[in-house]
Amino acid sequence: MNSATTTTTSRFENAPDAGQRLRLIVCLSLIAIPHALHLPIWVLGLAVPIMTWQFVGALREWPLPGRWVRFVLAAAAFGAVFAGFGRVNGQEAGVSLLVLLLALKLCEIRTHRDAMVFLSLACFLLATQFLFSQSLAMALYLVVGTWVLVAAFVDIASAGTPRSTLGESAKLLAQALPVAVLLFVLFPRIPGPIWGLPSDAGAQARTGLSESMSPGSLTNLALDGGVALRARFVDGDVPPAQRYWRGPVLWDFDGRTWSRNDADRRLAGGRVEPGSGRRQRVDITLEPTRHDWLIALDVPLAADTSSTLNAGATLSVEDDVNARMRYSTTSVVGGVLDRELDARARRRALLLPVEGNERARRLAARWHAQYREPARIVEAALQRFRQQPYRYTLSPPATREDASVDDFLFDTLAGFCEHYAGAFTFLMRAAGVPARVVTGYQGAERATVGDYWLVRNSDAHAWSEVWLAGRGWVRVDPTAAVAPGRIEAGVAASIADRSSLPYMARASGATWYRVQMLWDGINAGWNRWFLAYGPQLQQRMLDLLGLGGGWGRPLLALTAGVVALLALVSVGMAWRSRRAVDPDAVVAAWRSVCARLARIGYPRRADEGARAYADRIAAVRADLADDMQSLAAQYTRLRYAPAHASRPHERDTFIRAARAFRPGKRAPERRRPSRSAS
Amino acid sequence: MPPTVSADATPAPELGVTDIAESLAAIRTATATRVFGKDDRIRLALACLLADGHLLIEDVPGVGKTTLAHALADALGLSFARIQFTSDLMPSDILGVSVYDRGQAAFTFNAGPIFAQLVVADEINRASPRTQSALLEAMAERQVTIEGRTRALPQPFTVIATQNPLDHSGTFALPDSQLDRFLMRIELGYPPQTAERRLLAGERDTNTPLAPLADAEQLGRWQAAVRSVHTRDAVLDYLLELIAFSRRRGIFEQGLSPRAGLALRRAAQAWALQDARDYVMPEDIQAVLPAVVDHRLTRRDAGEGRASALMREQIGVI
Repeated sequence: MNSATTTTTSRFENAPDAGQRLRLIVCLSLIAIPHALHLPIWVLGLAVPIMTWQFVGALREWPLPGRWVRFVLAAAAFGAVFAGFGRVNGQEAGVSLLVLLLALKLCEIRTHRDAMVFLSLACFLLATQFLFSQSLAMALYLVVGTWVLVAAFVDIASAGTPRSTLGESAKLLAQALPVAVLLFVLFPRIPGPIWGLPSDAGAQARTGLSESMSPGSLTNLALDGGVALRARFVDGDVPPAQRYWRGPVLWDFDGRTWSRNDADRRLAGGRVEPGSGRRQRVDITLEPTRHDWLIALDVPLAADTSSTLNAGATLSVEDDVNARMRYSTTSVVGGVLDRELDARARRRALLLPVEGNERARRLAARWHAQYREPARIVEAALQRFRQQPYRYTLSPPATREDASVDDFLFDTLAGFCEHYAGAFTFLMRAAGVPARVVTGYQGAERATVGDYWLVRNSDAHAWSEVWLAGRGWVRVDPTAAVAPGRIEAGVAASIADRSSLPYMARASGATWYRVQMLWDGINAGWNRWFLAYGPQLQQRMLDLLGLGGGWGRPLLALTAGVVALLALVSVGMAWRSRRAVDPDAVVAAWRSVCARLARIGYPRRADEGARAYADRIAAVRADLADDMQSLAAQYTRLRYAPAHASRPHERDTFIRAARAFRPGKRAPERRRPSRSAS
Repeated sequence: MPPTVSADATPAPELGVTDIAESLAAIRTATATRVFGKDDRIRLALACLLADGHLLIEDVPGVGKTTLAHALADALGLSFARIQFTSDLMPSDILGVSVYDRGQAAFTFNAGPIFAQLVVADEINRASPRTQSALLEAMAERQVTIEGRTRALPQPFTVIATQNPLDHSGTFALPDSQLDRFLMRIELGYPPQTAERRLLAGERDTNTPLAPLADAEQLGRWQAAVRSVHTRDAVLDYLLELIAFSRRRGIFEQGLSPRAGLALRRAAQAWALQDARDYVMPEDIQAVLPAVVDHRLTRRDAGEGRASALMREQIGVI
């Protein structure tokens, strides 16, 4: 912390002026704006006034606040962060603190050095954006941010117009690009997301499927046009009616909510017979789910990640999926899942609360008595959905807490897929048919750019599976009985009140839709080629480059590449500086004279003219006086006198004399050298 | 033209710079018999006159400001006028006034002291801004307009103004824009002890004026010679870097004006000519730098040291 009265004597320090301070504030705002999307509002409530204060202060040239004001503000920032998060490190707390301290740092930018510290911290803040978002849009924004930030460094370091400063910054970034590419491709990748911080990743809002399902839970998802996953059908397209994406299976019902609980892990099963249906390979890029399951085309057989198939035939992984994940799956469409059902699973698949929803139970008991055959009971239930005036709607009437199935089945007759799947499964269990709820997605839209399919959160769906002897778990989608269009054409086609649907799930063909799809296509490429470039892709890339097998060769290549680039740059700069600064050999010769004198302890000051230098040397080294004064006189004439006045041989004489000049480290004692100026 | 041998053993015949340099040295020597121990200031003042610029001498009273001006005027053989500025001095006291001549029954113009080749404006900051600007306008235009008639001032025309920087009460300090019109500002300072001893011993002849060693015409030729002193690209680059540095943000209140840049070059040329050279080198610029730039630049950072020292330190030469 420099006080205002301190002055530098040896090197002039260019203290940032008001204009530069204003630009620093603009730069900080630019970098901090994206953080406004996810940091608590009070962080902005603290940072924005400080920045505004400093902005106005810089405009009006107010003095900077004193030591105590700054101390109190800094302590308050720490206190606020600790009060808000319960700690001062970690992802959100750390970034909040960084934002606040950067805003406060504005209050003490007095010297050049302060500005450099500020900008270095701002670089760090810029990088923290990746902790929150790694989307292409953010990456592009950060490129602009980096550009402006480097320009701010340039601005602090030297004067220039905004145009030249930004130009210089672009040039620097362009020069850094080859090194960045080399590092990106060759620097060893560690498994796991680079930016993911597992400690508080869950602090962010979750969207997508959850571990349980109650009336209304999927309805909320239907309003979310965000992308859930992107898929590529390797073995050709899958017909719309087969586009069921299997997520978690919900086994347990408590009277209102269907839950996954621990059934998946405790039970056996989940094996589809490989040869029983059509095999379909699908490459999937899954958006973070914050859960331990993966989505796959119904019914998955295997995947290339370290995942397991649980009893519900859902792909599961050890840790929650907190970063976008790419994997290849093999599914069997229309196959037999679990031809045998063991007793424990059967018991679990028939379990119902002791009481509640009595009317539904009575209906199921009647069917049981009437049809006996499970397949016919299933048919009877679907028949009911088809014939009675059931409606498929996003805004069903409310149902009683303890009788949601009864109310839905007999009174409101209106619901979304979770109502149908829940009620149907309840009826089956009550009628003695093992059944369970499967959640996931249904549908997919083909991307207009790129060969892949897009599944959105609004495609979230729930259906039932009943276990039939000899056929295993059979998918029954009661929603399809009510609204066949839902399966064939998506939610938008089958809902009456379409205006409540997200725009992306509703319109197609509009220009905006096409633009959005184009953007998604570019994003998909970004995800596939940049974000997914982890250890596996890197290994493949290295094999392709002939650098496979251990880290020795890639690291050698990396080092060699960086060294080669730097060498190239320095050779280029040396070449340019030779051309630019030393237009002729005369200056070079004079420089070498100065360099030799500098080596024996008499460096020339930068602002020292040749004659002044020669006089100074002559005063301390009588033995060099003649040579130096002669050299300086020749140099001065050659360099400053009109070009026509000096003849070519003068130039050669000087260069020869300069080359021959070899000052000794110490003056010869008591004996002046007999050498005289040539 | 007597044959001479220059320091570099190569004569520069087209200018006869060695002749000029010798004549100039003689003028300096003569002036030095009236102002003791101030050889470098005499040289700067002469450079200013050779560069056809106006000179501001700033110092406390009694250090020889007027003596220097008078001695230079005598040695150069210029017509001389001295105006003592006071708070009640009117523009017409400087420029002149038309008076009704009863005998000829017509107005005749009585030329003011400004119509001299060398005008000493003593304590310029004592006069009102109105009177100051009458003088400063005449300095810039080299002509005056009185009662609707424009009259050219003599050639050459040089103003040497003096002011006392410590005298604040009842004075009107020259604004920065007016300071820019003086090619150089120098301070005299107290004489060194040896010089003061000679002064006290009465070695100075105060009665007889200096014998003129040149005349106005001669000075005009020398000024032309100054203008033709060569400035190579390497030196122009150095000049440009100095000017660019002065305009960098946050260092000075205001950068050097183009006029100041021209002044710097012309002064350096005059300095080089006194050194018997027909080309400028960076040392010439460095020699005149304090006198030319220090009164035009105000440091913003309240740092120690003169503007010229800062500029010189920051810009390297090769």
